Amino acid sequence: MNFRKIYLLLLIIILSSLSCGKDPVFTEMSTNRLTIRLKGTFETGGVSNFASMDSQGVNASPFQDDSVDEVTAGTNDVKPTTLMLDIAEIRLSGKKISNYRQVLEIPIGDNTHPFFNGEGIELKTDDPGDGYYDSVQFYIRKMVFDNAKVYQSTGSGFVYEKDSTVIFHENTRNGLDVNQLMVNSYWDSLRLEQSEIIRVFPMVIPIVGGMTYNRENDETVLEIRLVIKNFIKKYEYDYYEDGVYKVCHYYGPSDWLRDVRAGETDIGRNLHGVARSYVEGQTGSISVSPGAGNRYVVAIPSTDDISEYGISATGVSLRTTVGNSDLPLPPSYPGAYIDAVLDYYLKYEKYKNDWNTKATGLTVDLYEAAWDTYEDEVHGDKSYGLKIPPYIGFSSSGASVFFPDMTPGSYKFYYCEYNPATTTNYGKLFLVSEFIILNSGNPVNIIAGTNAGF
Amino acid sequence: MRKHLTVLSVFLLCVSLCSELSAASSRKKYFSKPQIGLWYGPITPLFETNEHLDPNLGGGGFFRYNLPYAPLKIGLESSYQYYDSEGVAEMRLIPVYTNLLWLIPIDLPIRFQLKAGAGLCKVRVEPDDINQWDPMFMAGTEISFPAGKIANIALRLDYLCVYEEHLKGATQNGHFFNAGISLYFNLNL
Repeated sequence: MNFRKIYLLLLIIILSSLSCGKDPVFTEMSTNRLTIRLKGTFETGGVSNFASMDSQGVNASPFQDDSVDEVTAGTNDVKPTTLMLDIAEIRLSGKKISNYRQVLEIPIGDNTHPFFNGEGIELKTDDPGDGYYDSVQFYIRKMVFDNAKVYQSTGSGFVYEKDSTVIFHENTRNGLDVNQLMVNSYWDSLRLEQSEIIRVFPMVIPIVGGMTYNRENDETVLEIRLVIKNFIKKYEYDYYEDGVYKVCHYYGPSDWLRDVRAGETDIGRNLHGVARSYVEGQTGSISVSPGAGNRYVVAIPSTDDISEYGISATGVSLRTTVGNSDLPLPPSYPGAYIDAVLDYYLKYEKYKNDWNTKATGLTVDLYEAAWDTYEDEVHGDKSYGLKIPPYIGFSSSGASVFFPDMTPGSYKFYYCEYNPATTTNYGKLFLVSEFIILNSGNPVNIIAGTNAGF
Repeated sequence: MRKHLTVLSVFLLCVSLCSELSAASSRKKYFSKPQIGLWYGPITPLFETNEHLDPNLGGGGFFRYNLPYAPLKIGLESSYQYYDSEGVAEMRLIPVYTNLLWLIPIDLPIRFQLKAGAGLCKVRVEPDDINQWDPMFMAGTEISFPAGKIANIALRLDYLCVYEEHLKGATQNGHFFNAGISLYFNLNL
């Protein structure tokens, strides 16, 4: 080997350094250009205008779900006051952008809290690479509503025993983790991997309109909304402890989409979410006058069909379409009380008769087809579940609705009649037929830096 | 018993060092040969880079050749360095550089070398999905002793600067410290 070869190699390395990279990666690492904001309202900005949970009776429908059948008048039941979220991870179109453990304790009744006042809680994240992303995978490790109560059977009835407790953020807290129950009744329980299925781990949330991330932009905002405020119901969870039959009254998202029936412990994938994205400083706005009355105004990309944002019939109606494949559930064994056990055997005979009646002529193929049809109705596009419109505002008594920070593009506008004072509206979203087109069906172009209106 | 063993160990070490001193001239000869070796040890980000990345273990290889001026050698080095972070960010570095090594002319059984060099560093960052080459500089020291006629053992301490301040919008460079135990061999080229 001679020295000239080595000098030549050195020269090549120095010369090739002239064609180095263009991205200041170490500066980028200390810069956060993606902001994720988490909100708990149906509305895009501002507080919830749904029928208020505060005005609901704790033991009355619709706040108490019709699946509560063992203890219909819980003597110690009180409404939840705190929502606890343990967020494990966030991904964008499958790409991991945050694995920071983020634990949130949100006072449900506080409308000034960022989770409920339209601002959003900022979540810690790293920046993704440049590219287009169409979904968020939101890994919720635990989701706990407090004030869960346990009642135990006495043979002739139920008495309050204790508050239900759960380990949350390494501490024992009062409440019940509803994540473990967010599976689809009859469906997930038949799978081999049933013990591993939780529909919110991850919860797949569509980014309506997509998100194009470019690190040239100083700040890109990704807003995630979970429909929680004024969308909570009381459920009942049946179990045995030391041979004693017990029920736990707990709280979870409304079963408006996937109806939970009496005796069922799974509450389905009833947590609804949507995400939208915009680049700070590159947004437009619009003022919409939807007409007289109390109305929700929604905007969706003009390329979307409104049928993606609602269901054709109520969740209860859709459940009935399952027909004979929706087989009855066996009664719960009441524990070591002779009168109750005798009742149980009577109920069990009735259950067997009902089951045999329904199952007559039922085959595995028919069963599968019926639940497939149901799933298609409630599943939504690309496993998202129900799609929530990206822009939602409320017009009280005909007032105009203002949408700031809209991503430039073409949008269609709709309204839905909604009276927050109507108690029966509690815990409900909208059917496709309730969306009424605005602006004569003409899409509106939102242009950055300008304010549109109609 | 333990105390006796300690005293015996110190004694044997002293004897060993004395015998090494008498062999200083032959070691000098070994140093004048081309060498190839490997290193492995802790790698850690420094200064502001330390705020975003965690320390790890890394390793690399090198080749050194003599120059006409005996106390100097020229080296070509490369390594693989992976840094994780508290979040999802992760960085992979492959520095490739040449350096000049100067043997401090003190005739001790343990040899001290100073080194400085420059080259390029392949930088790959996830999830930003950035993959590029950056210029880099290094400086360091090495403390070595022969382990037989063909092998040498060394402790190496290197500082690496991945230079980016020439880029538009850059306010920071990458700073890293590599410590390692290296084993390298004298070649009869």
